Amino acid sequence: MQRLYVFAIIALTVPQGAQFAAAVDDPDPTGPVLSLLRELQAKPDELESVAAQLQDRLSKLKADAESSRSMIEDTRHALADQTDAQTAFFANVEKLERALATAKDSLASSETAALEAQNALTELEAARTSIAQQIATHETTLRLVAAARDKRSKEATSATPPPSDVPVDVLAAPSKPVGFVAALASLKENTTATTAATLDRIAAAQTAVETSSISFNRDILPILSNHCFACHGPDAATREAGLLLHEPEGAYGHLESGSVPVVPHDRDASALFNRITASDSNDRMPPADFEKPLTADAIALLSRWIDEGAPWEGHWSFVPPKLPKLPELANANWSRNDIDRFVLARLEREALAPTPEAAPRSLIRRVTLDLTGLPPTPEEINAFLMDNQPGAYERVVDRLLDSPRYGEHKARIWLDAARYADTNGYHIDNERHMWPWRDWAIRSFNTNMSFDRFTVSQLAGDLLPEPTQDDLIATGFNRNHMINFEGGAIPEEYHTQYVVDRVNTTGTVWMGLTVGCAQCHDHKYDPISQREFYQLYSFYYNVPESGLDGNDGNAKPFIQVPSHDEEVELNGIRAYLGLADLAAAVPMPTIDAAQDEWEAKWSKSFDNRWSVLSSASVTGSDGETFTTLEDHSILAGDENPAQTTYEVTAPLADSVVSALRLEVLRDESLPKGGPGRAENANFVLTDFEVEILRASTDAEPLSIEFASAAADFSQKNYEIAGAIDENVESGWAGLGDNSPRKRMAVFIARDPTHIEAGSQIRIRLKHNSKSAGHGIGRFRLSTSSDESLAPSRFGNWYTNGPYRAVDGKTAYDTTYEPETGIDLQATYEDGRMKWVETTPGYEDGKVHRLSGDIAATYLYRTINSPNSRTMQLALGSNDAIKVWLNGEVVHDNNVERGFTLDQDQVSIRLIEGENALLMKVVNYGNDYAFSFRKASEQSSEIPLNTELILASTDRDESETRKLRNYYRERYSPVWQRIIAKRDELREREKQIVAKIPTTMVMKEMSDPRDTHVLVRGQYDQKDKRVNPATPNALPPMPDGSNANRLGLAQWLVDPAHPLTARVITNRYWQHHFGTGIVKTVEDFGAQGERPTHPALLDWLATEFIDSGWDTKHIHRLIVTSATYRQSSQSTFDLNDRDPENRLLARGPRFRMDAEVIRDSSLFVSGLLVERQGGPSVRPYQPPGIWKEVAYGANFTAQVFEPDVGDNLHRRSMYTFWKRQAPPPNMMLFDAPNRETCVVRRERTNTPLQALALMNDPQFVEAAHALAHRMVEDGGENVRDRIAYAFELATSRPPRDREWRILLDVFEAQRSEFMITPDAALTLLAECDSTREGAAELAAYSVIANLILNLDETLTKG
Amino acid sequence: MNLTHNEALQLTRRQFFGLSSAGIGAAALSTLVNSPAAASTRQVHAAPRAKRVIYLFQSGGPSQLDLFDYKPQLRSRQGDDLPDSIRMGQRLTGMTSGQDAFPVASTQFKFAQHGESGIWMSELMPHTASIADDLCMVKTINTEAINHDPAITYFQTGHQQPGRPSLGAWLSYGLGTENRDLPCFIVLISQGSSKRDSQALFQRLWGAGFLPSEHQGVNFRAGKDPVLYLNNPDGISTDARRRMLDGLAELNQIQHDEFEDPEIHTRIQQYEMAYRMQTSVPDAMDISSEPDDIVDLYGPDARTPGTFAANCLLARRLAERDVRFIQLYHRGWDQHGDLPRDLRLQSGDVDQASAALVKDLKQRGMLDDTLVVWGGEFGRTVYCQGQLTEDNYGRDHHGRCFSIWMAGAGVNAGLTYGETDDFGYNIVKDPVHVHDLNATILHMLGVNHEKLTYRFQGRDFRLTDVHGQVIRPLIA
Repeated sequence: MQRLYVFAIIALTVPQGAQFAAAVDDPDPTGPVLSLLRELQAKPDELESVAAQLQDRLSKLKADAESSRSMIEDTRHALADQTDAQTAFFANVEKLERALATAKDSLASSETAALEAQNALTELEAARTSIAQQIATHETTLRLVAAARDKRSKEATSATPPPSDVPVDVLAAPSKPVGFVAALASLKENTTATTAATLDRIAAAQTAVETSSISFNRDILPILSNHCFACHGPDAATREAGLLLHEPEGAYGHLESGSVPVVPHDRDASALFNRITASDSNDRMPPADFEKPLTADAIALLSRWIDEGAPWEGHWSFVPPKLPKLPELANANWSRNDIDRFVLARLEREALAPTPEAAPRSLIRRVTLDLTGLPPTPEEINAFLMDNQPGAYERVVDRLLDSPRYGEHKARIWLDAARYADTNGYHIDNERHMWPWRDWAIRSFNTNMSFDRFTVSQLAGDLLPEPTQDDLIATGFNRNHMINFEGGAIPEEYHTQYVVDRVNTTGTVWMGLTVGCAQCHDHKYDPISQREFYQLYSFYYNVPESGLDGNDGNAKPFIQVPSHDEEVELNGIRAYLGLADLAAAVPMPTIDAAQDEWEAKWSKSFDNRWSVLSSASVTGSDGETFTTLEDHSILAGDENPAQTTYEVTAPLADSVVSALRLEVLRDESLPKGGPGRAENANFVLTDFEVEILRASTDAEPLSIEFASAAADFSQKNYEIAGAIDENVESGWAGLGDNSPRKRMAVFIARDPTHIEAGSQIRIRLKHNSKSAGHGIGRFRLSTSSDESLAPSRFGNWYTNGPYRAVDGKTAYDTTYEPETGIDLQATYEDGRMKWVETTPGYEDGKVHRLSGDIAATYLYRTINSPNSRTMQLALGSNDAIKVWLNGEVVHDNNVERGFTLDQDQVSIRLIEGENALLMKVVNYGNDYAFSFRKASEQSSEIPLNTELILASTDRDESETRKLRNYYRERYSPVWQRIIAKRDELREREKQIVAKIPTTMVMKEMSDPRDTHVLVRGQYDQKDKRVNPATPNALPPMPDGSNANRLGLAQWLVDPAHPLTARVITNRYWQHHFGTGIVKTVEDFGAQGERPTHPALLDWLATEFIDSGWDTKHIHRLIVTSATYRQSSQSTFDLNDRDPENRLLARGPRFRMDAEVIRDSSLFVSGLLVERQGGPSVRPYQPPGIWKEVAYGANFTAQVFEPDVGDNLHRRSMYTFWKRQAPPPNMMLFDAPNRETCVVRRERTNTPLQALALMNDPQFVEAAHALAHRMVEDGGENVRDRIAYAFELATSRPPRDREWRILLDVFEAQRSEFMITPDAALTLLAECDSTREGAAELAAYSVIANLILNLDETLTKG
Repeated sequence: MNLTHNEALQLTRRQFFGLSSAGIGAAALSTLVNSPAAASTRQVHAAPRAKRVIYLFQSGGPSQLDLFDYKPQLRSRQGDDLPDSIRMGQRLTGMTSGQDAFPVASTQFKFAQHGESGIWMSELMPHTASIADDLCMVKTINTEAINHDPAITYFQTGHQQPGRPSLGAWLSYGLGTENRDLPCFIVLISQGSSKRDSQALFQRLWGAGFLPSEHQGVNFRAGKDPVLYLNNPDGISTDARRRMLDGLAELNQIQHDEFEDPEIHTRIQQYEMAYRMQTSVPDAMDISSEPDDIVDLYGPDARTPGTFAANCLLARRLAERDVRFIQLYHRGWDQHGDLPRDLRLQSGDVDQASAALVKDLKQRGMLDDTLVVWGGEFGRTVYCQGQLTEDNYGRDHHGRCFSIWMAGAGVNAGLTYGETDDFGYNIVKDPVHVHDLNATILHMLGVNHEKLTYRFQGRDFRLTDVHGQVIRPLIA
């Protein structure tokens, strides 16, 4: 920045300054030189002396130049000093801010610590109670067991007692919450004997994992979860009979009834078995009214599970992935990378063989679609077919991963997860602008940002130590949710929804957990309590946002996102503006000298204007004494009452009083030297009143009213106007944050008052403010008889109109007769229009209704000014307004608007004497009104307050600056240029800033909100307070991380987190194979599906982490695997055996996503416009789709207007997404509506899709364009042309049989069009084609439409 | 490989769809009755009376106090502040929560009893009054929602927040279609005549939520393309389309022979159905074959496409074609101010056509197996919003009780169900919650609302969430 300043100083100021310095003394330095030369020619005899003069002159010029140069140097140094000082100042500010932030942080952290301690204490209490209860239960169990044992031993059976000690590590199954293990361990210590039997069974269950053919996770957990957990699972609130089946301690422990749910190897002793097989329907579980009976298969599985030792495992996805051992394979040659080893191992186990590799054309089509979302071009296909070197395919993959299309395609998938849209959703569904976030996502994929960084940026970019603009934009991820603006909605209700949405979205996208289930109650299936839900909630609850802010554009908080060009331009502008400020302080010797002269002249004339009051007598109201000093000033002393009035009486010398001057002076006797009597030297003058005591003593005193007052300085909120207004308490103070100084004020009388000789003047200085003891310490009063100080006088208003017109614009543009010259007696329009004096007149500063609808009305008045001066008017009008002064247009605002006071500011230049003011107010319809007010006027060339500064002899710095600016702005051409440039740049800056797009971001409130558990998820039902924390069942947050969003993000991408890497790689897998290794990509919990290839998923997850979260690396691994490269040809048997291809015995084959289908059509037909990024676009959609459901035109995004040109053919990820009515040709192909996060699209096959592909203008247009392409680029004959289009769409040429079918259709269609040429032309009209051979071209269009509808065209196979 | 039962069903379902001509929802049904063998609508329930629903949704919240819920006592309390004992501090919308007073506004309209059943109705509904004995009037519908978006989303999807499938989508999923040439779930929208902006609708109201998107409602629109993209581009004849489709089918078949992907067969079938729709939809939408006296029955608006009256007539034609769920929306019932003027306009839009629909169905014998539902997302407050004058008033949203009526299959005709207090503010007897209404509608179609579920994000979701009771007295 500093370098920029220096550069700009040299570039901008110095040349102008130098030019100025040379020009000021002598307007044309070359003029005299030329005339000297002419003299020289005429009088050769005077050569010598002239030469000497010339020499002198030249040396003088040289000296001037030298001094100019040194002045430039000085200027440069001065500026450098200024810059340094400024830098030092900012450094100090920064230091202070840091200190403040540190202080704040430590305060916050100590508060958090206190709260945590308190919570820990509560939890400890709860744990203690629970342990006590468990001890009690186990003691009961023990008694029952003992009784049973006694009974059994009495029956002399051979039962052996269970082993009394079990190693503790058996209990530490990875999925078990640490707290529980500890509790159990301590419980065990205390009551070893009582829990022995339970522990024994748990140990047996652990051992059985090795031997049993049953997998607990695969076979048993889904049954328990689906049929039992609702009443016997994690949700404590709905738990029945004290039975919990989601933890081994529950399943193998004793119930209060004494029975044991599961006894390994002993189904008859297992209460669970007895209850699920009970013949009495009242006893049978699950209860009939639960409506989820167990199937016979499920019962058989549960029984076998018990028989085989009831093995128990922790839930698979909660155990961190470990790099698995690579499986041994029978076929060692098939694998291309480790992925294949896991896939093949499974196939070998199933006795299935992989399908041979797909043909090269299929392969390049598949991988190009998968990595870029577009099909390959024939040239790309050929290049691949021709490349016989090893690694040809890998080179294609690398080329695709490097293509900018890759980032678009992958970001497009991410948009679903991020619920990206261009409207706010909910009721009004106004437009928002989040496309800078979308652009960021594309960039991130293209630069292959590591996934951990990608995560941290989106969840907490703003909390990074030094966030870049991109980091801030990234946080928009959590602002993409809907935002409401329904009139009657309750803000808190919706604010709650936004935060819930963030929690749910984070759960789905990163954790693959349905945490949202715990919003209203403990999760039914997974170990997430309601309390934990709100702990997650509190991470996202500290955004300075409001509940109903979806009115228009972006909701707070948002940031501006300037483009590179805008940023450069703004930097330049701001550098110049900073420079202009600095330059103001730099001396300019010549102009400064001129200023000195000007000052001297003015102070003299100023002094001449005033006559100091002398021989005055003064009284105070409460014990003060007054001393008159030599300079006729008056000094107050002795008592300093809280409130007081000084009354000054003095003889008057002048015969006219038009103004008074009050000097408030300093004196050593005053506190801190005055001028006020308060401790801090301040004063507050609340009222300034003046009366004339006429010579004839019995006459009433004549009071003088003031029109205005000015002071050289007024303290903020203590303006000088307060001393002459109606308010007793408001008043003028002069200290502010300055050091105490003498002050001066001037009071201008409404009218100059003429006074008979011998009169006296009485002045009251009232001090009635709430600040006690704020009297003036020393003061001097003067009067002026200068009548030019008086304010202008306004005449009455006259009106003429309304002149009606067909519309407002016509009324404004028409020159009606009053405009042509003022004649108050004249009549117009056959006598119907004439000037009418208003009675009572229009009061200034009030709104006045006019009559007439769509019309013009004229208003006229005079302004009588004592001298030539400027005046500022403030006008309001509904609608347009035009103003003339003395026949000249001074204001011209043709506008249609509602009325507010003071909408327009107009500066007019009055001449001495009478001025004619004419206004034309035009109504465009409905309300018709205007207002008029004088904002201010300047009685002399120099504004009064500047004049007061001028009059002062010992100015402080700010006064000096004000005066200098004032002078330079008026009299220095150089400075005027700088100012003109400055104002122009300020305007430009405003324009740029107004144009810069914004994007919503996350931000932390400095004062965090309290988060409470919400009872049943209701926004207004607050329960216990909670702090940010992650769920207990998952690993703790990494050491040293904060309990904020940054900590949360770091926790999610901590290598120890069991979910994130699995969840993400599983979705990458889904991109390519259509189905995840875990099909329920959004649910890795107990109700989710188990992975088909658990070891493969773990391998991918660990590889992802080890590669540094390298997304492209994982995609590359997947698409280069032999698994991916298999042909997607299936067989009847394989379809029957594995309809969804979960075993991966063949390559992936499925219909492409909505966006890929549309983009491919545009691409194949040559229409696609590949411009990356920017605002959303509006391609064709049938009319009325928005209007049918939208609210009304008063809001944004309510009326659909299609774009034109390039924007019709951009990639679909840029299509404007209105949540209330999303783009229909996307919705028909299963795009989600983007109201909430979606990570898995359905893939349906419907007749409406067929209709869209055949008839949607977008696809029809694509067919036309493809037809043109066939004719122009497809060769000379029909066969080649059809083959060309076929290959563009399907990446392969048609076979003979296929070609013949197409040709038949073509021939028949061409014949039909030959007979009905009009139909051909109609069809083609949409692409502006009317040339010869329309029938043929139209027939090609039909073929193109057919080809674009082929299953193969729509399918990645 | 361990597909859950549900998933296995969906798999077969998808292939089943394009191929089967009837009973498409059978697969889903089997989950309702837990017996794959019982895959037929008839066996779902002992005796489902309704085969289809025509839902006349009045968007914006019609005023029950000016239409159906007669409160003569209010006349003498006109202008009195609503007693706290009645209001009980319930939450209000942001539009009236700041009002200083809540003056009672009695209706300006005359009420009378009609038919043998003596159902009360105001003078705004003269035609509806003529079918009083066919109606089951429920005066105690209630909802927790107090604003449009959550309230209408609640009615149509069983949840106040977006994201769940709509009623029609559930029925499409659960019962499937009986017409192979038309969608199972059709939506018709009309704009009201009242002078203020109509409250917004959202496609989610007929969306499929997390159900497969083929179950979403298809909006039939007035104009050239009743279904989006239905018509061939200008210049493409029916012959040309047929020829193109034949070529397409042949080529797709070749592709199938190579890849053995059943999805290709489905696609061939879907193109065939699209082709049939190109005829069947215009045929259904074309009322030129309707005799004048039938069109006249629906009123003069019936000849103007896109009006509520025209949509009612279309609804009957679609019902005749066995479309399962026909959802009408009539917009503009949000009378916060100028209620007397605007309610008259709105009632004028719908009264005759609603009654005509019931009469027309009845004379064709279709009322026996067609359920007609008429109502909005909430009612309106007894207290006035804004200035209460001699001849003008407005009412804010009121969800604590309001009226709807049902007619046709299975409903207890002539019944007035439920009672509200003298202010029409609280329910005093027989409440019917949104979930109860939806449970009852499903019941009439032979579906147990607790069994029609779909596994999403690990949970079995249903239309009525974990609530809802079938209100038996409403059923004959």
